[in-house]
Amino acid sequence: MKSTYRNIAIAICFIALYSCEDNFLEKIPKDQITIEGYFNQDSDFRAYAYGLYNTFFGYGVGNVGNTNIPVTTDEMVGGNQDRSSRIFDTRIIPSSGGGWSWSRLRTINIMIREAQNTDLAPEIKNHWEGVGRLFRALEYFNKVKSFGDVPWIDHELGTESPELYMAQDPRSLVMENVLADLNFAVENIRENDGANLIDRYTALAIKSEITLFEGTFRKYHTELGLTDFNSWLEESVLASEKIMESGLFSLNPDYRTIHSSLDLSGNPEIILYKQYEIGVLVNTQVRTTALSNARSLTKDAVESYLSSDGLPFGISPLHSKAQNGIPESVFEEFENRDPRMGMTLAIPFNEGEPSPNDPALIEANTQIKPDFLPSLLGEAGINSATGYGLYKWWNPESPYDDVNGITDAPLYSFNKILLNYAEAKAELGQANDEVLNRSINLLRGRVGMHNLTIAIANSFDDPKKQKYAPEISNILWEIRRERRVELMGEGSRFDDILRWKKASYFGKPFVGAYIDLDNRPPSAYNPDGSNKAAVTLGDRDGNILPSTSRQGYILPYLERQPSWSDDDLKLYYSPISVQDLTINPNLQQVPGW
Amino acid sequence: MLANLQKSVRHIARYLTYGLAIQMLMFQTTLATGINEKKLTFNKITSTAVAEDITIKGKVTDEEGNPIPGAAILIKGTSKGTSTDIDGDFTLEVPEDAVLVVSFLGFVTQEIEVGNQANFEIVLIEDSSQLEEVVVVGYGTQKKINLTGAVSQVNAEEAIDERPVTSLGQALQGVAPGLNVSTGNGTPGSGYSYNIRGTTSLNGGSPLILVDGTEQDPNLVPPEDVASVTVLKDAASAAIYGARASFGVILITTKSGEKSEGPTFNYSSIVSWSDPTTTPEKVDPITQIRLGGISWENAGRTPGFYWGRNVDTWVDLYNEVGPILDGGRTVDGVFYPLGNTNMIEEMTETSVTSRHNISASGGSENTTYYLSAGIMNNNGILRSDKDKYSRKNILGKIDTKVTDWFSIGATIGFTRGFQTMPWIPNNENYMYDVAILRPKFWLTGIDEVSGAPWGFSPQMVDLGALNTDQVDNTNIQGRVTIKPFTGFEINGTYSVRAITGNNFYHVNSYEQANPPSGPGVTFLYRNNPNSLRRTARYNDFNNLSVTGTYTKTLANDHTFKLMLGYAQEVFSESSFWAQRDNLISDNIPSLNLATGNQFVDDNVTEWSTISGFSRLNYNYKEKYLFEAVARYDGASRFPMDDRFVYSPSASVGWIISEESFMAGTDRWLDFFKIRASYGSQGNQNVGAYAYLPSMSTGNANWIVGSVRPLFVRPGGLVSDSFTWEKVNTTNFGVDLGIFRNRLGVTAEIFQRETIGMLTSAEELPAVLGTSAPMENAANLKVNGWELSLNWRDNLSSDFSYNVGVNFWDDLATISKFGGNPTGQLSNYYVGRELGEIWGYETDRLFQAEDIVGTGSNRDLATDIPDQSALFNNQTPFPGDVKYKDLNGDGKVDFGTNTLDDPGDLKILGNSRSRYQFGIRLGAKYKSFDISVFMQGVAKRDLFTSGPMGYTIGGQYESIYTHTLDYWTPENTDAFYPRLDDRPYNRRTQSRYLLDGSYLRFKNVRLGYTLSKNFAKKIGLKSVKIYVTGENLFLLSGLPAGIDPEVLLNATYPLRKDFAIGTNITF
Repeated sequence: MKSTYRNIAIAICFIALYSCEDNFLEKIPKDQITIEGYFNQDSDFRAYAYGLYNTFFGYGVGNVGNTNIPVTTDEMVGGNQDRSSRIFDTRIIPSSGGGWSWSRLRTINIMIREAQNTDLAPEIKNHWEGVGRLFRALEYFNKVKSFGDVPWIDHELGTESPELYMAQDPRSLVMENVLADLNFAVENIRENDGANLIDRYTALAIKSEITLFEGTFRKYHTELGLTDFNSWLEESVLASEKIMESGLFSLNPDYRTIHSSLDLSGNPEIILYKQYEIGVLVNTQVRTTALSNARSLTKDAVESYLSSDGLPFGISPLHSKAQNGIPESVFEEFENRDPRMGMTLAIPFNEGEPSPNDPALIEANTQIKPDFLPSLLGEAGINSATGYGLYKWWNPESPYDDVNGITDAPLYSFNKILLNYAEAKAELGQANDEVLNRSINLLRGRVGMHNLTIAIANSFDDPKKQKYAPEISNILWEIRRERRVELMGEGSRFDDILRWKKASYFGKPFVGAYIDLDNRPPSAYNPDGSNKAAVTLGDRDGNILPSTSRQGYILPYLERQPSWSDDDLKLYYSPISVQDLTINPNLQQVPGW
Repeated sequence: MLANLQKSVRHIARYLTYGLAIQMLMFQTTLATGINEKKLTFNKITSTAVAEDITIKGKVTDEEGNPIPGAAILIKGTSKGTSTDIDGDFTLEVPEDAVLVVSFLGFVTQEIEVGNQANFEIVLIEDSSQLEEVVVVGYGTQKKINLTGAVSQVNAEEAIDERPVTSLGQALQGVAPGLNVSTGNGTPGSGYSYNIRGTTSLNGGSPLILVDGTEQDPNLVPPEDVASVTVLKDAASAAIYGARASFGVILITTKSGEKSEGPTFNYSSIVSWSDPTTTPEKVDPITQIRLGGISWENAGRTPGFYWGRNVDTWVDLYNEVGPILDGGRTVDGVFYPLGNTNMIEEMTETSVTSRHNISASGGSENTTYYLSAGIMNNNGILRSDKDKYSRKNILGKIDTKVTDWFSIGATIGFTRGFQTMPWIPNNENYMYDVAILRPKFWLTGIDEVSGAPWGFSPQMVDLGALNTDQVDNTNIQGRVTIKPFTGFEINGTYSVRAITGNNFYHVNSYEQANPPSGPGVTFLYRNNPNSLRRTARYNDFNNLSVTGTYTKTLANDHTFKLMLGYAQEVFSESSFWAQRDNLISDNIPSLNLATGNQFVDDNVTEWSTISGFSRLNYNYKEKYLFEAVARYDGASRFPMDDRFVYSPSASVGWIISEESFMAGTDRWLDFFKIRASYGSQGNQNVGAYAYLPSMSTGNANWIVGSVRPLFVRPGGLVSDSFTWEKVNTTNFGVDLGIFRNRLGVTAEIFQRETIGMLTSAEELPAVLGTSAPMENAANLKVNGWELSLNWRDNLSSDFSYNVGVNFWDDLATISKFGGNPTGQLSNYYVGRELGEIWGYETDRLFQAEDIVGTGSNRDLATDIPDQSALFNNQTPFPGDVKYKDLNGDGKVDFGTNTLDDPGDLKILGNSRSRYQFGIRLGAKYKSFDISVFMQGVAKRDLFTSGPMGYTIGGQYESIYTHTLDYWTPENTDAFYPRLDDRPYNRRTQSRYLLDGSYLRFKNVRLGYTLSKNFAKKIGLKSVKIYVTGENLFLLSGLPAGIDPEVLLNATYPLRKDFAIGTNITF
């Protein structure tokens, strides 16, 4: 029995020894990082900042195309699915979501805090604080664009922070802070941080864009009562001039390259671009713009291109039919125009077999035509709902299936800086021929287009201006036209209309090309002689013609032509969701909602 | 005559003495084990010789044929009788119309009419419903009679043996009330998942599964080695395992040798043939094309066309040329495939599975052993034979008593599971797409121009590279028992379980042609690049437990049993993988022979627990039972300050049938116990490091050089008060033994509350910039009941039968939820029953008179509520579904999709299985035995917007024959709406709710046992052969093609099996 107790004692000791191992219950992750002690060197900040580069949407990723770019404006119609968009006034106050999301801001604020607290050299510290603040400026700019007033939060919040339940700060305060962020970024970000990464010129380009937006927005949205718009416009001019005077950027001789290049590195026009590579990061831009009818230009867009003599379409004697109010065929209207028209739209001259260098395309994969509306022009052309197909992004060398599109996406480019500069100058009343020669005429010269002078701008009265913007000067009208033509189809038109407070533009009739059903190409018919697909025709004002009509304008939308007045604030903003308003009762719903 | 009588009396006296001696022996045992005294009075025997009676002789044996000495033979209604001798023989003089009552402890009492028979062979059936049964419970065993918690035990011979199952889980479906065993698909080697009593926690949670005390993957346990499975369902019985066991425990006990028994060898084998359980019937190609064309037009596409092809041309081609399995015709530059394929037959073949197991067991006075080895080969049903699973296992167990007070034992087990599958793009979804969704005109052959096989065809089963996954599971356990003095016992167990896994994932590259393009414009599909990924996984689990038990009986009536214990567990798992693209050759897949990008990654997880526990059992006169358990657990998954949790439980039982006031029910009620229990346990089922805000990484949406650089993102917020979920269970139970224990009834009713589930707490304003931290903020309540009935009887010594019914239900409701302030229907809310289906109520189909106008000018007749929200702002056509305007606002919509404003949505049903059951029927006649096991669900709703729920699911999907009653202007009384593949007619709605209830003949078995004598002649102890089938029949309201167990999961089908087996003991 003695030995029994001895054995038990040994057993108990053994157990006690085994279990009294220190920190038996302390298990620390071995393949994860916690934030304490992460930011130690330049490369730590760089890796963190890479996570914010998805701010730059470019052409999206994979087959998530440019879905966050508003497609339908007065220059372009989207596919059927786009009918639920903003301008058709089908938006409702969402029960949750709706863009009131602030996770990126938290990520940015953590980065700024860590940069401010780091012991690294001031150059490194300031650079990364600058990058953080540049991202914060972009983030707030996008939020202000959507919601107007938003709460300004410049540090990471916790679950007990009183800021969680604060009301919105006024737009003026938020944008003053944005400007401070931008100025810090411009002064502290490195002049060059490596190929195609954020540098001082990226910051200047972003500043040029944001300040122009805010200046013009304040100027035209008088309901805000913000009268200090000129200082914003001056900031924009300054930022643009710094880029223009750096000597680092110039226009690339070929207008189409920045949109249809597989590689934008080394392009002198590019300030920042999004790179795509097969098997790494791909997009569907070519497919979306050229091969699907989800991007089709409107008659109004086509009419905005000048004739080659520098006169507006409808006034120019080069288009006598249009001058006399007689509809031109699609073949006729492409003649003698601003050359950018042929570089942007599919020229409808090519019928018959498609060839690789020809903008006449088919769905090579399936040979199936979309069933939304016919690809009208030659039936073998670029697909379009209006008859005007987009050629701007077409590159026969870029694979255009769902998974291999690798056309690089320009994000900030020199041509936009020139446009920003010219517009800000004109808004300040400082437009003159010298300003035009430094900006607009560089763009026109590149494509061999007639120069613009103040005198020329004042030499005619564009009936469209009379109709849509009688309150602005002729030179501003021409500078806005230049912006529209240069950036046609890129999606910036929507923001421009918002800041110019021109909601009425969305009420322009959505009409496409003028066609003559008795004169269609043979390929538009089935073997039995019937039309491959029915087209609804209307007049230039969008009214449906009787079904017996044989000539008219293609109507891409049959119902609910939107109608907006410039003072409909609803269009300019997005609503805050019911859930967000419920959780924080101090939030006010945005104006117009 | 007198001499004879005297002789008889002597005989009787002798046997009686002998019998009484045995009875006395039993009496002592009975006292010790606590059988009620009434049984003994029942057994008291008065012997009187009755002159005018006849003399009968007989032998009492058990089912195996072993004699039962000491069995009591009574003449019914008298106290006269005898008992059997050591050979089980008896002789008795009885009146001619006598009825014999034959009883023996642990066996079902039997009544036999004497009639004019003189020789009896009486087989007593072991009474498994008998409460004498010993049940495995946590850290020990207990007599079933003394249980106070909710415990079900399944014995292998009832449910597991002789079934052609490849996994233990398959055999356990439906056999224990409250135990839910399910599988997602029938892939060879796919595991079964276990659940006890329904929904556990919003964060998931499954029962603790212990094999001989060590946590193991039950899918790796060969069914042949299993002796019994115990399910601990309520907190009172599971609390001894503490926080790992908050949702119950499944104790799997493997077989052991018996003391003082010569070596017994057993060989068993089963060979089975399998096919898919159910397959849908597709319409013929011409019907498909015609109806597809109508659907295209109805959906607003080009009239007269289907799949971009002219319908009339296509149909004409079928009529003129007929089906061409490998091709089609080109008309006007368009290729028309002309197949008439049966994809399922093309892809599958009857598969063969075999299982062999051999074991040896036995023991000496002090040592027992059990050794077994087995192999299982499960071929899948794919024709390429690349889908396989094999399992090899060895188990060795030895226990020896070294001294009176010291015993040691060890178990060594090894299992290797090896699974292979062909690489298939998008895995089972793709297979499903090909087999189930493709219409019959689809082609299966080789493209003439490119020489590549047609895509979306059974070819991928052959072309896919062979991918493999090997899991080696080694389990070593050492045990020691020390008995220092009477009544005190110390048990120590140390186990190591090591798993190594090796995965070989080869994505090979092959070309496929796209049939609709047709020759000439063949579009080749080729996945690029090919690649190989190899993953190595090592998983190590250590567990140590020590318990001390002291048993003491005071004053004969008060029995105490106190156990104290300590346990600790350490788990670590590490894995890493390496991948390389661009293999030089798909025939020699190797990381070494590749030229492309290289990727590596690793993962390490560790956790540990420490626990102390105690259990006190007390009973008074084996009549009033009490048990209390306390356990204290600490887990590494929680922050330092919230690391420990206390799990108390208590239960009481009252054996009412022992009370004297119940004497009047003696004739029919043998046993009646009521019991109640309550317990609270912590649940540690959260991520191993969930309390630490770790940063995550990813690849940036940005290219630097030619790669997407790694980026680092901050972690979310973690609550300071992050701690254990609590699981509280209340259980009431009744156990009954009726009609001489032939009928056993157990009923349970319970409520299980999961308190403080980790979810996002009250929603915080979005400016926080991250999701609100997880807090212990939601509660869930499960209410349910279980009923189990078992009847066993024999009508004669040749014929015995049994019936068992399990029936149970549970329903889970959210009782607290903070994260949904607006009552979104898409989220949890207080009062939500899990599985609720929200949808619209279908009124009827629109008819011509409901629609005014035509084309784009059409409109609904004035009295009809607006349907535009459900029809994408369009006006319905005749034949479309008319949804009901429930809230009477003149339009049908979903409001704000919240509880307060659900629009016209309502709860249509519940998709969870309700009223589940298992029914077992067994009978034995002479050498034959038959058993049928059925399992099913009595109530379940199912809604599918996919194929088989409608006439046409998607525009390119097959139409099935059961859906042909669709609306046309001529068939306005149709069940299905007009053909239109758009989703407007397929909103979740009452009319197309499917009935997911079913009754499945899980197993049917017919066996034949060779006579003992014959077996002996050929040198064997027993030989049994049987034929059996799994999943042979199904009664279900679901259309062909939907198996009620996997429903619409696009996956590898379940199988039905037919099998032949043998079981030889020597």
